[in-house]
Amino acid sequence: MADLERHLRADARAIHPEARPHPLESALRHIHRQKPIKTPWFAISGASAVVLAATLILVQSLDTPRPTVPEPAHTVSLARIMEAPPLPEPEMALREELGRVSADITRLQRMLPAWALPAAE
Amino acid sequence: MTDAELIDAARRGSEHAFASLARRHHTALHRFLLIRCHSERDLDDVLQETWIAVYRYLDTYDRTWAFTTWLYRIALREAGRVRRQIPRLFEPSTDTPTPLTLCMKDESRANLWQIVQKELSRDQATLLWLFYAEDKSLDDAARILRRSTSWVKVNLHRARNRLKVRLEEPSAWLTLKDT
Repeated sequence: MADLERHLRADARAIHPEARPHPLESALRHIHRQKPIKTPWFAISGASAVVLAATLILVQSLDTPRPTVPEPAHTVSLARIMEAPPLPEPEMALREELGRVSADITRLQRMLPAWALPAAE
Repeated sequence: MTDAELIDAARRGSEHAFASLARRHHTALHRFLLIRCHSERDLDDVLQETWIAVYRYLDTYDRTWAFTTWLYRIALREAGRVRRQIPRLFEPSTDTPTPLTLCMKDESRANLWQIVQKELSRDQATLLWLFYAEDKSLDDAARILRRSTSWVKVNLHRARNRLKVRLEEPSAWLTLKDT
């Protein structure tokens, strides 16, 4: 067994991959086109930086008050609409309408002859 | 620079450090895969895919392992993947010389590792290589092969015995020289 082990070690040394070279450089070139190994949280790529800067500028421009422009005569500004008296709420309007209908019914009942009215229980 | 220093630099993004690390271990990886890969196409693919995987997963490298242990483990995984991807229909015939045969400088006699490759399973041949050519411990061999240490012990014993029996046959070397 010792002979076998010695033989295995000796023959392993007789193997020379240089006889059949493998181009590591092509593998490295391929690797260098890959994504970076690790992107720290604080590291941002150039494209991300541009997008982030554009977003910040946009947000800032929305916050900044715009210069006042004279209001055209034919338009109604939002401020003017806000100043107008509030419209009646739907519930109030409905209640008023019901009241009017009820008064009309009472008036009509008075105009009708007695026999046309429903018999009282 | 040591392996650890090169790995640290490569993790920080140094392509030069990674290239140095790859050049340092490329020949050993090539020799290791000569035992595992039976066709030139497989060998080239596995070599390339292994370095790509090493680059991609360098962050996950655990420095309590020897770098070559981790490297060979990845190489075996890539070898399995490449082998599964290539249909058996397109595998080279048995007459085609293996990459191992092409790397024998001394053509006057057959190399024992050719018999190993021919007679033993891929895992057993790899195990013998790790133990005798790379001087890896049983535990490291187990890690690389993703096997238990007891599997490694049993198969090392079996592989040696099988090889010994085969070598006692007079036709062992002759058959090899014919191919």
